[in-house]
Amino acid sequence: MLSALMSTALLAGPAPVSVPEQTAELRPVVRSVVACVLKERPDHADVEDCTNEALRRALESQSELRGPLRPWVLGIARHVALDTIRARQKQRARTAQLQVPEDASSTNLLDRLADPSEGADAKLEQAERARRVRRLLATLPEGPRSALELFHLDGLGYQQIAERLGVPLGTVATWVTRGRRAMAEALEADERGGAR
Amino acid sequence: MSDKRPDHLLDDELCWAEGGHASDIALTAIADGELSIVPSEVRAHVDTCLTCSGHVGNAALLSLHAGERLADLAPADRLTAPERRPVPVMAIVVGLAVAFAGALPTLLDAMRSPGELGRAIPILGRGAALLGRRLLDPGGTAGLVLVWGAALLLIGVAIGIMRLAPRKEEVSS
Ligand SMILES: [Zn+2]
Repeated sequence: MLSALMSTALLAGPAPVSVPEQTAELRPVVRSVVACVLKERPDHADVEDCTNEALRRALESQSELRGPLRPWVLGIARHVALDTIRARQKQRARTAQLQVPEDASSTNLLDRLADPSEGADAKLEQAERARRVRRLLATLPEGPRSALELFHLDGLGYQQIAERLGVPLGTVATWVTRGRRAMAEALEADERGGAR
Repeated sequence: MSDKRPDHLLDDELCWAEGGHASDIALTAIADGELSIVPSEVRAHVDTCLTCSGHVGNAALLSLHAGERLADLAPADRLTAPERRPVPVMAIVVGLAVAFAGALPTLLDAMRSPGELGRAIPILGRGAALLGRRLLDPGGTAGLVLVWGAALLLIGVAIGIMRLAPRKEEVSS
């Protein structure tokens, strides 16, 4: 009886990892994201605080999770780090006893990074962004573009993408890295051009 | 450092950059959670190197940004066909087999007495015609029940789809 139960358990495979466990495994990358946004070393006290806060919020609001966990938790980490930057800016302004309005351009950029869907004309902005992304994707070679779509939109892993596209794993990793970089550079150049 | 790795691991030449640091490709893979394809020496280096772990943050932000931009696109903008779940052929076959096994006694009975089947068909036909007339009757209760039932079903399905559809990231500050 016991052996039958054990073989059934073995057939069922390893127990699925729970959301809290998966979230805890993301700690190193969450810390790296926070350090990057705060422009601090990963061992800075604020980085550790923000990392703890981001993971706490992720666990607290896990019922709101729709879609893959990783980008969701990293989005929270980015949000928490940007909140800390804003708090620091306010604190600095108070300390200096200056009533200077916040730097509008940097605040706007921070807000955009924090929540790109915010704002009264969010729909229009989204349509405009989609138009830009569509235009720049058309300039990407087919390989990187397919790899990015399969990774971000279908949630496939590198190995699955390699099988699907019939290319070696290293090619997929290169396509994802270069494609993403090309996308970011083109979007930045486009935004600079549009802002001018 | 250019020995060939197993197929499930990235080759060394793709993983290391100048100065003994991890390459952009390895850092991107780590940022994407693809730890199983990064050789253990590279991961060990990134874990202990402040420069590399900083770059992992950069790569993760870049990934986040790319994912958000791509999510803005309409499905028609895609180059590659979306990944579809495979049709559960086995489950359908098993389901049909169970249904057939369940219907078998009735079918055998019907085949033993074909006269009964012959009498049943006109009765079923008359029943279907009557039901059709009742449903199509403009002032009839049955039609009204059908319309309201369909409306409620549609609302239920719409609520179900809204709950199941992936939402944009919502973070309460
Ligand atoms: Zn390094």
